[in-house]
Amino acid sequence: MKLKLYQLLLILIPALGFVACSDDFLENEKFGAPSTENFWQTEGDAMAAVNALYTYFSEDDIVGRGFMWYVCAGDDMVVGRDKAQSVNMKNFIDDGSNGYTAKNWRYMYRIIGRANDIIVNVPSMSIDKDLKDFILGQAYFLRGWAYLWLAPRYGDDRAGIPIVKEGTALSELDVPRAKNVSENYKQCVSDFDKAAKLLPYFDELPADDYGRAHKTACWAYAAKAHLYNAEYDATSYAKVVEYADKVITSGKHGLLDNYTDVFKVENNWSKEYIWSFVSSSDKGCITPSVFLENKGWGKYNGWGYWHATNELYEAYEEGDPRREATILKFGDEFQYFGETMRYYSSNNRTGMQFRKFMDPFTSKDPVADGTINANGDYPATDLNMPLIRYAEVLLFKAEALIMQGKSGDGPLNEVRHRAGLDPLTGATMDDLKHERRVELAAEWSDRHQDLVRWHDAQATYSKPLHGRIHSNLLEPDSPYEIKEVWPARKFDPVVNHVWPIPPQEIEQSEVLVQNKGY
Amino acid sequence: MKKLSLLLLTLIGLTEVYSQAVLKGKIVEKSTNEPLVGAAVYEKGTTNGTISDSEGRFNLNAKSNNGVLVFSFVSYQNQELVFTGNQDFTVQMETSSVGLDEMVVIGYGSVHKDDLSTSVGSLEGIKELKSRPASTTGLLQGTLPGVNVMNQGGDPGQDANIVIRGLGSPSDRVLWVVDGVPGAPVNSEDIESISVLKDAAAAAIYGSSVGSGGVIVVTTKQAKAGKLSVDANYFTGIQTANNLPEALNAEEFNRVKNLAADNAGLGRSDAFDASKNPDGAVTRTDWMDEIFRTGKVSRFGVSLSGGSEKIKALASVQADNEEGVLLNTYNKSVKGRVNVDFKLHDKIKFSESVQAGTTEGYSNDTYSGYTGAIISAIYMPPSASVYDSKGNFGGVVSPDNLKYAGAYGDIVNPVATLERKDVYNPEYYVRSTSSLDLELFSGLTFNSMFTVAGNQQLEEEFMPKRPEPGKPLNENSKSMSTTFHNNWLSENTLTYKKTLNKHQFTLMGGYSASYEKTKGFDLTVYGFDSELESARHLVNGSNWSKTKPGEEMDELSSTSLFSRVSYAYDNRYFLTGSMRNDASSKLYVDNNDGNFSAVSGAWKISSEPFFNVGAVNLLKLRASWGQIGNVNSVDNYSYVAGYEATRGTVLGQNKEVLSGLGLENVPNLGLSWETSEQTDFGFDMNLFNNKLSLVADYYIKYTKQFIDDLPNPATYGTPVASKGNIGEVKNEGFELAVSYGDTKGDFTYRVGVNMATNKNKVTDLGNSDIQWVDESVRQVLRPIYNGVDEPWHSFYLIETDGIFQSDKEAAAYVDKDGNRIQPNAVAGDLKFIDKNGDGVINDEDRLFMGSATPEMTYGFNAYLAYKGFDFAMLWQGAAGHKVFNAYKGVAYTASEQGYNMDKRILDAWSSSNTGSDIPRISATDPNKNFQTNSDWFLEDASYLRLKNITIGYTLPQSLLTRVKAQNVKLRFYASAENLLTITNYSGMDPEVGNYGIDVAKYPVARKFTFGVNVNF
Repeated sequence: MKLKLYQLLLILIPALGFVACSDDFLENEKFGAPSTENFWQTEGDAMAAVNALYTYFSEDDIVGRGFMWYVCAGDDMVVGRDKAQSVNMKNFIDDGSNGYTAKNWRYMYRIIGRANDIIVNVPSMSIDKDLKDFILGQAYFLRGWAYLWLAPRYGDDRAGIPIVKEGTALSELDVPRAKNVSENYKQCVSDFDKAAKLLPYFDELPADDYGRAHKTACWAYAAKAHLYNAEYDATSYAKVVEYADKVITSGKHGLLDNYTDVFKVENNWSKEYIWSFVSSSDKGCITPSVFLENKGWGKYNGWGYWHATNELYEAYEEGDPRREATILKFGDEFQYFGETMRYYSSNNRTGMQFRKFMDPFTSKDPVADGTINANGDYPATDLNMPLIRYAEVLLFKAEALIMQGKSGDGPLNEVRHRAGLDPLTGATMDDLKHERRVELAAEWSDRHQDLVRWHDAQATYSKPLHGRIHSNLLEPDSPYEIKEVWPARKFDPVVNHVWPIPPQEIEQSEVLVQNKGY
Repeated sequence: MKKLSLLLLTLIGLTEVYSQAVLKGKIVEKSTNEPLVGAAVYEKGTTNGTISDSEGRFNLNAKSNNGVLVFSFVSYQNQELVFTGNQDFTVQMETSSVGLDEMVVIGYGSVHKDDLSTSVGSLEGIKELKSRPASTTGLLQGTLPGVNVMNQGGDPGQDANIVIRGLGSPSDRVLWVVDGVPGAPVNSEDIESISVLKDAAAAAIYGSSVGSGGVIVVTTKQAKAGKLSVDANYFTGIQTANNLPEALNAEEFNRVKNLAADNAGLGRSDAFDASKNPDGAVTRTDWMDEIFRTGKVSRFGVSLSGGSEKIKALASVQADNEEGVLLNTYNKSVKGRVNVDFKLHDKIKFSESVQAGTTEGYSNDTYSGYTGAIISAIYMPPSASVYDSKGNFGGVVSPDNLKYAGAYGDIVNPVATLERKDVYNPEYYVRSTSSLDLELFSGLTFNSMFTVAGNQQLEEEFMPKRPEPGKPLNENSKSMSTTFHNNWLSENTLTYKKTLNKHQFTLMGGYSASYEKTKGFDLTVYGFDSELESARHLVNGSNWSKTKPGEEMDELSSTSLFSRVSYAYDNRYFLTGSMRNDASSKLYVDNNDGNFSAVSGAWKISSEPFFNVGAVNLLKLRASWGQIGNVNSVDNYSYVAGYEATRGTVLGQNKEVLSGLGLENVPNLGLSWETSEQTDFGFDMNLFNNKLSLVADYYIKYTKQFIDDLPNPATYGTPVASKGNIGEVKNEGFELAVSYGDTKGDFTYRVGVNMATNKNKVTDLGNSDIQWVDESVRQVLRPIYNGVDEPWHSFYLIETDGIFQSDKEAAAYVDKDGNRIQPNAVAGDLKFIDKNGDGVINDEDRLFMGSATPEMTYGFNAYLAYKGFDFAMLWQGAAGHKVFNAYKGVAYTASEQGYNMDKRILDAWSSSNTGSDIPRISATDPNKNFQTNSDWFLEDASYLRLKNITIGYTLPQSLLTRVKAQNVKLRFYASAENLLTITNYSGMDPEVGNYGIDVAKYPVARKFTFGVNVNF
């Protein structure tokens, strides 16, 4: 083969042309998920954006354990397993960095950021007006909700938490803390007000939209925000009553007849429901399994992290059916994986387990029935976890009335009546505190936060916590002695009034400062 | 290498022909009188030269009637002979102790090693090293100063990291250039030589694909004309782990758990009471013993080459098979290649190289603080059994003892973790490189190279149910994913060489473009009725909706323009300058390119007429400065504000999982090239007939505008931090390599020592003084930060001051107001130093305490040969660096659920054992002994390792002649790897990777192999 030089050059010239420089060659289009260039066009875009606001409601660090560790700091439960981090949170020697609770901060600001994105972009979209209102209403509600999730835990009269307004320029987006937490509550209420105007009542939602924000949820949360703010500003109590009444007079809600039924999967959407973490066994809350006996007597991966105290057990009035609905003690019968079992535990620190959320485990094969997840590392269940129930709205109102020197008997007795207890007359704050404790034990209403805002925490926590130590842990009928299971704790009301902001967040920001004393 | 010198000299030889003397002759090996094929012959001071043919003969038309002829051949000593008029020579060449006359590939060209003006390290004695049971990367450890190879533990699927002259960017990586093709794979058996381009001026010509890491240039064996040769190597052997930690036995475990409960003031658990739970008091399993095994390793490699003047070909194949020391872990590969070179015309050459291969393997993530096999082997109760009475994998308790299951932690039987693994993950690649060399006219050559490559990966895993008590999984699943990656690279260069009297010029200019595309998808299906191997197919899965299938699509394109000018005067002065422009699609189009330049010079004093020191064969001073751009750490589409699919939202009465989209990042349109800028001064000296060689370098390297994550405050609301040009990192150090070798009769020896220092420091972090590096242990410990004036990725920790010996001492530790600094501390707890004196121990008290990057690395090698015997030894070490032994935080504490512990906890502090440095045993940890980022975890990780010893024997020629195998060279050898490690580090092995965080990392293993080399 004899190639002439010019023949070769003829071959080469196209080869060079092939790689010739051009800017097009260096600009590649991104495929896959959309970008700001092509988003916010269709109804589907707006729906996807609003769906993203709820996504952390299936994230363990928010709805599974997360702040339940801070609820556990109260006097109703103790940490059931040796685990230094968890123990330290309960003992107020936490620095906020631990993976269990720290993500709440970041994830809530992500909800806030996404809600702001919707609030900025959706109004100018050319989509159906009703859909637009529904979407914006959800965005306002969830923005307010996310602030309220963080504000009482991290903010007080010394400093609030950062408020990120919609449309904030990138250069201003590292926002410093608000002057005080009342600013946050104000922001929350304003969001709930806007949302309430835009959203329908729960019973107006199609079944597919159950779990999305609705009108009375906005009012209930506005009541809660005011109640928390009342710690600093007593004028807020009147607002609590006003918003609670909006919920009550809407006629959309009521108490179920039987307290036990409230925590059944079938009643996820009952008239008592106002707002819950929506949970399915595929994606959702693992909390019921975290309360369950460690290793679930070999049948399921219960995590056994929180055990009920004898103090809680004894707080119930004699004959209050809520006690046995809430707590399982040695010898109590219960349905578990299709069998009638009598409770015992070789590892429960107090000899008592929370029973409230055990409905998903009752059938013969809950995995097959779809009420619990097959993966023991993610043991989500089909039970929605209540955040605000109608009963709590009644108690909001009762508390606000009592604190204003008025009678809170009406709403308080409504709650007692359902429990089959005698009505009270001239109920005091002590009665109210008792009622909140027993009605809402182990729920996200957060007993610890109540003790803090009532300024009862220091006194309460200076007493040790007790359990029932049975002589034979494998025998449901064995006798027990009441013994101290958790020593008295040191709670400094100045420092521990709030929790430490995750230090990793302080490192990421140039303006965020830690709560004093941490 | 021989082939390369041939190539270059052929080119040179084609230049100008104004001959006067006609010279010819024969070149032979001095000791054997065998002809030397491919030896170079050139007229001194000119580029006029040729090479010897298959009979060792050469013909050369000299430019003048009298002058000096230089004869050179790789690993032989140069010879210079004077000629006057036509002459016929017989030249006997002697092997040199060091390979001095190597041509070094410098990127789009090559240069005589003696003439280099930049810092290039060449791996010598590669033949002996290659028989080692090590990866190509592993071969470099301890052999070149400034080339720091750090094993990432001993997992067969995880190769070592190479850091050249210090870290300066999160994307410091090394570019491998194999026979001129960046990023091509290489078989260790095929390697002829390795050069490491350490300074920026040397590496600059490879440009943006280098990053700030440096370039490793590999030249593989090339076919030789006229002679058919076969090279084969086979070895087989075993590997074992040593220095493994030991867990408590059942009796000790119960004792420690009870003591821990007592010390914490909590009630004892019945589970740890032998009278109540007798089952738990029996030691049944040594879990560490169960998960480790003796692994087999083997390699077979063969290459065949030969051809004629016009066509030469080489084919090689290598098969590796390695069983890891942990059960079921392995890595195996088969890789082959074919090179064919055509000489179409005197001035036209074409070569085609095709490479193909496949690898697969299974690695265990021992790093996971939760389910890593090694840490699980510590956690697992000693009373548990590997298999239960029915032959199924056992859990933390036996099926009849479930009532006590809750007392033990959520642990997975580590044997089950390893054995259950059902992974199929083959990766295939095919690459083709075509290269055309064209001499357009005298001195001007055009080279065009085009590479196209494809790589396909399948990743299949079946996850069986995990029913046993511990951390059960009642669901099985199968996931499959496939990734298809293809890319092309086109490089075109024009080179012009001109010699005018004593002036030598080389001008080179070129253009390259590359494009990469990755496509892939993945899916997971759940709910298989049967777990029979034959039933583990997607068709049998019942739940297809739980996980959404995913798709990947990525494109990357880049272009470069580059040029280089080299000038040499009279073999005395050398000057090279280069410039390039790189552009990448990773950056926003308005600022996607950068300009980078380099310049270097050398003065070969030994060639000066005034220099006349007989003992000094070479003395050369070098200086260089250069820049390299880098965007490796930038993701594609960094300038796009994307929306990410969220994890799925559950809403509605039927609990539908809905898709959501949320803003992923805030893009940085201003992102521009990171630039590494390096200055190097060095000198090379050869003494005593080149027996002693000495290379010394000093470098200073700045990584400017290094690219890393910008701070991403929570209030941004975006999950992904943007990349930004953050700051600057400085590296400086000295390097020294000395080798001495000689042959006396039948005895040949060579010894080499090398050492390098590295001083690394972050000099600028933009707006902040400190930057957290996203590495954590169980989300509790976060020890690594970048800080201004501190080494890259330093440990940032609270200082400890021993252990409080009494409650009184703990109580007496007060601040200036008399308040206790550690209010929860009692006797046996760590004492933390309140550095800022504010009376509280918190993050504000941290100090920078060094990093995992050694301040000094060194190596020592020796080679001895006597008659048929040969012996090689390599020692290698590193000093002045730290490891954060996080393993202590999970295995030396009794405050982590029902986990078993390391035996060393028995030596923990107690009132009767006050000398201990392990804090007291307790079920709680109010003092946060094990949860504080403190220097209690930090250990000196300096080590010295006997990396390799090899002993070989080559059968004598006389014996082989008797069996009519006179051309065969047969060598048997035995080799031991990692035989001895001297270190104070208390973990399994100091080479832990992962920026120096050790949570029971898969340890580096010892290997013993036996092998045979055959050549004919």
